[in-house]
Amino acid sequence: MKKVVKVSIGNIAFTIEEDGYLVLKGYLEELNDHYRAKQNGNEIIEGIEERMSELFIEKAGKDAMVTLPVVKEVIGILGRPDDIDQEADSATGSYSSASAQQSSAPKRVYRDPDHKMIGGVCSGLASYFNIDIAIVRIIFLVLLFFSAIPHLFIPPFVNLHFFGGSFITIVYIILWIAIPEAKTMEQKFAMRGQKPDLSNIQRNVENGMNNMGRNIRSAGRNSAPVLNDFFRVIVKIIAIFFIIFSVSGILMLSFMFLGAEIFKGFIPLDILDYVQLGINSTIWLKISALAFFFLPLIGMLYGGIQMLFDFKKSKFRPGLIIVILWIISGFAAATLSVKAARPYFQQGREVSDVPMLSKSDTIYIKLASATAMPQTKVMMEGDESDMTLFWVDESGADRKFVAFPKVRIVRQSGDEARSLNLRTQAFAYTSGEAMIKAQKNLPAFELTDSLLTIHPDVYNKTNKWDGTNKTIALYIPDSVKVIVQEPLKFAFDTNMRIHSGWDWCWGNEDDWNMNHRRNWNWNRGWYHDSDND
Amino acid sequence: MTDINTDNVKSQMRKGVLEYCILSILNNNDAYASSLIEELKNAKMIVVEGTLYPLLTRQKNQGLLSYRWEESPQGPPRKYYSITDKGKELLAEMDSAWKELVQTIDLIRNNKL
Repeated sequence: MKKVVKVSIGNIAFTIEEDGYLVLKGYLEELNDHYRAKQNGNEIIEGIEERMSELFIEKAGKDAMVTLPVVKEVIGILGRPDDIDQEADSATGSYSSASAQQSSAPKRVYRDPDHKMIGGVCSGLASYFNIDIAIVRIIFLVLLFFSAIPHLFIPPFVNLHFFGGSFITIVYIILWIAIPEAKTMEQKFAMRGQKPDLSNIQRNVENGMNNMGRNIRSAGRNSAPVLNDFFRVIVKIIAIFFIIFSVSGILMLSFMFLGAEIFKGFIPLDILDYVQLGINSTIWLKISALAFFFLPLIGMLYGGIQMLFDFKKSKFRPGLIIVILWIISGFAAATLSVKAARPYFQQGREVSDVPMLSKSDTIYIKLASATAMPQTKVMMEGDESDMTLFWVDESGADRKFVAFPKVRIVRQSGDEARSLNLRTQAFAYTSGEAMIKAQKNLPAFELTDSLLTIHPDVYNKTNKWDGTNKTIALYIPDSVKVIVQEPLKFAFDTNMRIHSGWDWCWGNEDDWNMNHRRNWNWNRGWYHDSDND
Repeated sequence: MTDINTDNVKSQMRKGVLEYCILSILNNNDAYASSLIEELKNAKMIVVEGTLYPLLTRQKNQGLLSYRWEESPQGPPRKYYSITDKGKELLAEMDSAWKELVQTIDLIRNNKL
């Protein structure tokens, strides 16, 4: 004889076989465990129990014995908590613990083609680690920067590589090759650790469509179109600002780097060819520097035009290409600049005194040059009784820069011995080299009685300027007048003052009228009358 | 490996509209849970019957439906569900949303969007 158990289910008494009862008990405990903690969970349990009683009556008859197969059948009809939740749970559901487990799947790392900038490595990693793409990208950029630092800041012993930041670039490329791209829907879900079931698809679609949905919804209301138009106008204004800013920027930079002819046919960038640098060819420095300055403006112009006319993005992703080129050019320009500056790392000085035996009350200075000083385009640095003269000789086939030592007049008391003080400052990679260079390079002059003839240094493309600067200081009493005889016919006396600073000077012969020249304010560019001074 | 089986997709699709169905049925007549189950099962909207109860409880908590106790064919009093005014309001919104959804899907399917 089989043992039976009498139970009350849904306020109806049933007689159940013991094995069936045990199964039923297990099921009810399962329900209880699952729903007890939920809001009004007991109602759910009660409801299911009631339905169970109805089903028992239906399957077994009102007063018949409930057998194990009936219990199993009824449990199958009612469903276990997991089945119920899976079916009952919608987006608003709160009974979701089981379904959350259901829809998760093993995570795999994939490259994300839908959010990629370059290869989708960063976006794929962001999906995998469930963090914001921006954070991953910033980490990569910071690493890019730091892997370039040794090249930027430890130049003397390390041979500079053209492109710093190569380490992280290589890492990126390896990841690009190694990580597969998420091509199918399934892979895209696996990338986020989700199963491609409908609720996940729905959730992703909802997230993606959120903005669109908002627009559609708001379009129905009266105020919405105004708001939309308002934003569209803002975008257009920004676009126009971008265009104006970038165009004027491009014009300005063009003028600065390429357009402004300082001397005939000579653009500012060409100065690099007349300066001794630590690099053999300046072409890459020029290109990278130009790219670095121009690319953001070009990108801005492109973005502005795209925003203004709303045209479709090109397949070639010009914005991205510009960003990449800009980063590359930035590193190239920075590393090349450091390398180019190598001959200027250390400086050396040489000082030498030459007694002046002449007791004359006037000293004549002759600036001896193989070629005549041009009437125009002379650069001069002036200071109180202190001047540098510099001009460009364009008479020959090759352009030459003619630079005279700085001439300084130091007034002293009458009884002190007159002297010429020669100084040279030179630059080189090491201090020793710089000192030797300075020693070999004292200002060239001849002193005969009261006439001081000063010789210039001439620089051209083969004999490049290397930063060497020279000074001849005249230690003479207050009473001695200094006349720059040739070619300036420029007189220094005790009251004479040339203002500090230097300036580009160009103009016609009238501007360079000898009578006016000595009162030219080099700094501000105006004349004043010395008699009123 | 995961694979999308059609049953799963169907059940996922049904999920979203189950509550809509319950409100619709109750809008026509007040009903016992058992008759709701019958209708939903006939319509193949649910597979396991237990599904209904969490949904009813949830909708009751949201004030969309209410119940009173009434004598049942089986004897003891059972909950007799009816839709509330709030439920009717939501149902009206659901109706229009449903129409919109059907239209949109038609448009998408016919490639007219």
